[in-house]
Amino acid sequence: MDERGKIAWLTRRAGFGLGPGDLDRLESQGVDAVLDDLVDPDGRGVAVAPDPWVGIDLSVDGQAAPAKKNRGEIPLAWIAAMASTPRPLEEWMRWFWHGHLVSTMRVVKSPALMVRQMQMFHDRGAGPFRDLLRAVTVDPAMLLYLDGNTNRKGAVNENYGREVLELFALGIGNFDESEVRVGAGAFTGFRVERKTGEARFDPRSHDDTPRRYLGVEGVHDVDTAIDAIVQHHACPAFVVGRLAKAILGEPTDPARLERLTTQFRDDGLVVRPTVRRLLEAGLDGAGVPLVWAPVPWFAAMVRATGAPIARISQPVGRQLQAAGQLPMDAPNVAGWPSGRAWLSSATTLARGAMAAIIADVAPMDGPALEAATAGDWTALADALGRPEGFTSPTQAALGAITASAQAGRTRLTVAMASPDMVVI
Amino acid sequence: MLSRRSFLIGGGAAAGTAVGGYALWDALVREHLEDRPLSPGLASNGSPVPGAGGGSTLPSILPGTRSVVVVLALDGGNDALNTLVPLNDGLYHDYRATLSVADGTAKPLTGSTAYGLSPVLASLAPLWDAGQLSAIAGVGFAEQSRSHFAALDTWWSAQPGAVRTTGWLGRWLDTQQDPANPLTAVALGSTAPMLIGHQAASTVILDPRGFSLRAPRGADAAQLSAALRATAGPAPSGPAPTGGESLLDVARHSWPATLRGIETFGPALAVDAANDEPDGAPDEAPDGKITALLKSAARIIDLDLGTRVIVVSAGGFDTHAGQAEQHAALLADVSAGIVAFSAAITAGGDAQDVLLVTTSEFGRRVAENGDGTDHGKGGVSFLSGPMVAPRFIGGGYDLAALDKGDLAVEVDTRSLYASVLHWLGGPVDEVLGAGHAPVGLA
Repeated sequence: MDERGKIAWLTRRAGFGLGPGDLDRLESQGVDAVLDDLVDPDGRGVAVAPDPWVGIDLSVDGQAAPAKKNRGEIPLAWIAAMASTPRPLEEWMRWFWHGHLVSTMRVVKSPALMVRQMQMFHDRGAGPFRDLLRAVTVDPAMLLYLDGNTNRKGAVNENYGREVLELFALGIGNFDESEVRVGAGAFTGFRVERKTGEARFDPRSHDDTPRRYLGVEGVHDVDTAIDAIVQHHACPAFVVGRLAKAILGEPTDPARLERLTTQFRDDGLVVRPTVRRLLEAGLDGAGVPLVWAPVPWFAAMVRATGAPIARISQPVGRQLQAAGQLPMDAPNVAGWPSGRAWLSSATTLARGAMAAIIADVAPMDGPALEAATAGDWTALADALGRPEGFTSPTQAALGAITASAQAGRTRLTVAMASPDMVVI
Repeated sequence: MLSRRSFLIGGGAAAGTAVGGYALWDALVREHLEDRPLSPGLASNGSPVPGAGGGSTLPSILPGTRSVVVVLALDGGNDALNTLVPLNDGLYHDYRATLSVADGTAKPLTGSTAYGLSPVLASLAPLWDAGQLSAIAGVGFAEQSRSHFAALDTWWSAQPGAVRTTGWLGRWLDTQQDPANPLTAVALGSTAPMLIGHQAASTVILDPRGFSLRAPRGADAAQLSAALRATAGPAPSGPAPTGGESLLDVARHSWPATLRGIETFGPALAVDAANDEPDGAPDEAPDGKITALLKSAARIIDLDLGTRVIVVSAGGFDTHAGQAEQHAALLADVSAGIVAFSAAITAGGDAQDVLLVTTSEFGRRVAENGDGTDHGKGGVSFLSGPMVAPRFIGGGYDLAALDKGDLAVEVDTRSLYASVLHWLGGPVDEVLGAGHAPVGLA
């Protein structure tokens, strides 16, 4: 990869692509400065990104009869933020944790509580994993999603106790069935107060009996249980593995993962330095191709074309659902599939539709549509964040679209939906 | 590092797609090299439960016709006890203080004093009376794990505890003449890991109402379609690759396969969208999601394009909390869907060819948790079609002899799968391994 290619890679793997003119500007800064800005925006004085949901009615009053009206608005507001944020990694981390520590609007039913959880991921996403896991365990949306809300002494609900081990922190095979039960007991006693949407701890419904959990004696409450989980030998490797898969693709060299895991443990499970190391490894050529999931792909295509997302949010919401990836609507607690799942006919078709919808509203004077109209494939690929150009089948497909009234928009659609923009 | 589930959910779902399951084997094996045996200590015993055919017959399809199977996959772990309800069983009411179906409200099944249908399944009773419905109580895998994702693996692959790479229906597709034909198998409502094979391809239709290609306004749709097809490069319709190709190579097959599916199924499914209100009654409630998908399945069968297997996926059955309301709504949709499906294929003249089975990854705990039920073991399956007889297969529920708080597994799920494969004309052993006697259909 040359300098320009490296910058484009960074913005695809730890962000949501590039807007018109961004690549020229970032190339003049150099890849090291781009990486620093990405990983440490506070330290580098990068402009603060506005909250994606500012201006949307999120009053908790809506909870008794959950407000349906803004349920569709909220995921799209988030994607609009992905497509415009000056701090792409912050949004990327939020997106990563949302896909890993899953809750869904469908189950939680409260837009306000879903948004609060997303704000928590934003604030804690790059910090110590222990704090993040502690926070999500008693997060009101999570309490509702995995039934912590009804998990009480005498009526233990195992749902969270199982998934926190299996899906969030350790992985299957690193715990046994009795530990699911013990952990669930330690987590008893929290519920979500309807009026405020706050999590409340009620000692009377908490089972405070000290028990052995994951090899640690005396575990009896949420703090001791979370400590036992993050101290478990499998935890750092599990988290690093998930981050590595998202950033570098798979497979990743086991020796590298082991090194990163040791460093992550030595860092006290602080996420930010590990993300930086993974990005550095990728710039050194450790990344392998991955399939761009529908949401980050769509955000990047919006960003690249300059399409006004507010004008297309309704049809796009439907298409993201058809593609199988609407934010806050993961299919189950394991989150979204990855890789080849996003090459299915259902996703391919929805991607094509989204590409057409974007092409419909792409501004005439944007570099992407201009290049498509002019038939300049090099410039078109560069505008879409692929400075290395298109592969020959994509070029041939584009070249076969003859000049006509909508040739530019048709070419832009094909380019965005082509395998070149899906496998990145 | 990468759990078995991360494969099956990720790569697995992928393989149930139009681009097929090719190329997955190597990736899978790599991922599984570090894998451990499934959830050590969770298997209750190692011996497979024999199929409980009980001397019944195994009707085969008449020569010259094409058998079809529709698998209705109830994702999340359907609660057996509140689906096929034990009648006059005090233990049931003891275990389910708030959730049990009250005696006298279950819909009785002619000839049975032991079981009735949940009241919301009452519309299935006429199918029973017409000799087109049977039930297996206590179906599951003996090696069942309560882990959701280990259970999904087993459910999809039918290979508990082994290094598994393919879905059971995908392996069947691999034995067919043209496994890469994406019209032979269709996944409706969700990707279907059961359809992963080495070469098997399938068409995935998440939302039947939107299965057509969208072009920019004013654009030439034919030109767009041709260009998208051309992104595959030369010979896009050549034989499916068999392994080792790059992600980009796999991606290049996605547009040709997708366009073929659209051109074939799109027009028929659009008819359903237009007739969203059955019988033209304008004030009738719109179809539930499961009903709409089953109607689409019937329409695909009616096209007579050689589709043999349709997996309809319905989610929401993981009822840890709020079970009373949620489960009843889902079952009502299942019931309406099966009735509508049966009516549609009967009207289309295909009923004698089509076996429908319901299945779920596990049953739920017998004792409720106060508001719902946690993951359990033995479940219930229904079989429907003119080839079945109204009867219960297997030993039924025994609430006095629970397996660690769960309904025991009386009939191995592989015996249900064996019946399905037998109906499809086999092979059975090649797909499931030896020793899984099919449950008799009639």
